[in-house]
Amino acid sequence: MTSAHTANQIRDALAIAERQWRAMHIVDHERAALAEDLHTELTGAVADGISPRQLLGDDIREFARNLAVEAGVTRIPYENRRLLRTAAGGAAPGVVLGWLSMFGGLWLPGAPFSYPVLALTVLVGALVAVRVRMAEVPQINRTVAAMALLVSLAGILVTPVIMGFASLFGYSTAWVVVLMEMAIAAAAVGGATLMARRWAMAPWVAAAARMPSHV
Amino acid sequence: MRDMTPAHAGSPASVASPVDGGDRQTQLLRGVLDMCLLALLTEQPTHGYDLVRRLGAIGLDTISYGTIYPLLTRMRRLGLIADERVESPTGPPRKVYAPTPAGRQALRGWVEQWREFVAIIDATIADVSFEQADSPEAEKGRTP
Repeated sequence: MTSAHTANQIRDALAIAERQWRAMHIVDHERAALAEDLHTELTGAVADGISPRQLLGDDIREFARNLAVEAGVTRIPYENRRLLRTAAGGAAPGVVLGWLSMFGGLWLPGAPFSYPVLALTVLVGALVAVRVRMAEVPQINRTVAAMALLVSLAGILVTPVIMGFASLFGYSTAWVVVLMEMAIAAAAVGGATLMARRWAMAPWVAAAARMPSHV
Repeated sequence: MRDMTPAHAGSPASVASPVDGGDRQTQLLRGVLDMCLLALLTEQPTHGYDLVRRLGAIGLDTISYGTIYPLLTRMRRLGLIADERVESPTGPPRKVYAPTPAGRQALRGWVEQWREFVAIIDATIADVSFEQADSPEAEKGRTP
């Protein structure tokens, strides 16, 4: 009979492995198959007097990573870091232009419209960069379309938040305050970008779920 | 780049420390562990941690379950072994692994390849004379 202590050990080991597999973006049904197999192994071992730690060693994350790699699992190609880097690179010229117009005395034509124009420059720069530099990535057109919608929406929603934050500091242009405002904007835009990628990948994930498991 | 020079080069005691020996054995095993597992499973199908015990019993006691289980999973993916849940008198069902026909065929090929390889290596090291290689004259001969 498995005691409560060993049941907890099994549950903890499986939770650590699950976290690793989620971080690796393994498709749901293959992750479930890995977990079920490992659960069978652990409960069998515990019945024979071997604890999960004795069996798997101290570094369960590394064990789970190796297991997933050897099992040849299907990973969802979110490419989150690359997406954020690429989008940030594309948005950078617009951000620099905005900074110079606000703090560097750069005069932009059509001054009353400069904020929307700058926002558009940032958005289009990010979208073009992602479309061109990540052309080989699955579902990239859907990602760009979803970004166009969600990042714009995030920009609209975060503007009053930033204005509210700025008003708290008397619309100070101190660099700390401005950096905080930029961080709020970046968090909103970055979050929207990641959401757009998840949304765009949903059909890919659904198709992967219909395919036979590698595990 | 890793320095391959022993810390006390020239001292007989430093040539093969237990740590170096273990590392070397691990490296040598890396390429043949799947063959060993297939051989053990051909002898008798069993579950993962029993394989660890059996490897230990034949002298390969540095191999952990953390190494074996991912490897078994890969071999199963490649169709070399199959698993079956078998009822156990001492608890829950165990996942017992056994070689598939493709696994047996692969094992036959690997064993032949291994025997040829061992014969070549044996022939290469057969005539090594350590007394001659370690003599002061041989050391002098190597000095530029």
